[in-house]
Amino acid sequence: MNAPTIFAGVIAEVLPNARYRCEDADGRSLVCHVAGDMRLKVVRVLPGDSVTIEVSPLDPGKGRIVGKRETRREQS
Amino acid sequence: MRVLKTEREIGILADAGKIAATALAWAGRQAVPGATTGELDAGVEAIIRDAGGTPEFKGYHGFPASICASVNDEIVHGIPGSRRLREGDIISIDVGVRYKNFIGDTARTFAIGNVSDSAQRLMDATRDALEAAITAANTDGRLSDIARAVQTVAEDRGYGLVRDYAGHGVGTKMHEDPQVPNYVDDHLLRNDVVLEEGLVIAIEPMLCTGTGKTRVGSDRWTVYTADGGLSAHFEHSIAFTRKGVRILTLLDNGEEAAA
Repeated sequence: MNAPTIFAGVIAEVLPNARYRCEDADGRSLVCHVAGDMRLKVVRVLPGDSVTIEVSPLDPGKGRIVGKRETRREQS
Repeated sequence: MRVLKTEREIGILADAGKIAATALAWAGRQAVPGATTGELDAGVEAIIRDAGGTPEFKGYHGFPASICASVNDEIVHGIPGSRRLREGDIISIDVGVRYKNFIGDTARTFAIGNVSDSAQRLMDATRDALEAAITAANTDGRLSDIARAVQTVAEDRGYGLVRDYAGHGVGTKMHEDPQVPNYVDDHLLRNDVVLEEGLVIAIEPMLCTGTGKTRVGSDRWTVYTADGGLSAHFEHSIAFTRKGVRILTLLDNGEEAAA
């Protein structure tokens, strides 16, 4: 069974080359990229943003950010 | 990683940009009541291929077409097809070209026949935001100068600003670093970028009559305004050169694709 696991996470850190370090509710850390169909345009995700992450059991070390969830963000 | 371009590379980027602008101008002339978005897509693809380029969007992460055709409350990533344009619609058309392995990327919102004053004002404001951003973009300036210019026009005119999508570096890939956001926040100020010679970026303000919040449709591509407000989108690719800022996505005569 190769169904991906889907869970909620938060962007912890912006890494080079459009990668992000995300943390789940338990504080576990995972390097993620934004899924292709979200990014014909560049998707702006920032530390603190809540995202939905998909992880394939075939490649559990990496995650795909498949959606942004409503995030309260202070405007500067 | 940020890649700076040589003068020769910027020349090719301008050739790619000219093809994109030419195709966009054609699409704008054809965007009249009764035309379908699929017809615009087919024509743009033919123009790009005739010029020796390839449509960069087609097949990009599986996107099925050569243009994004985003009508009214659609912000970006609208998939062209059988939809027929109607008098009073506004359509944002986005074109990406690969030519001699370099990218041209430009977009513009067009009025379909006569549009409401509010739609026209939104389009004017978005075009003005792009112009203000290009004016604010100076070699040795900062990326935040661009973001602030867009944000100021949007806020002064009372429009929502789409924050979920950003401009980007342009080169042999359509999306390179740096991201070019349309608003200023702490993250940008902490990671601000000097606009140095050789940098090439696409600036693309997206303004809305509502809040600017977004949602992705059931086709998993089309991005809509969450509140159903109208949206407009203008984009140019620009290069920072020894002689100043050069707009790369212009027509043969040096002009913009007319709205």
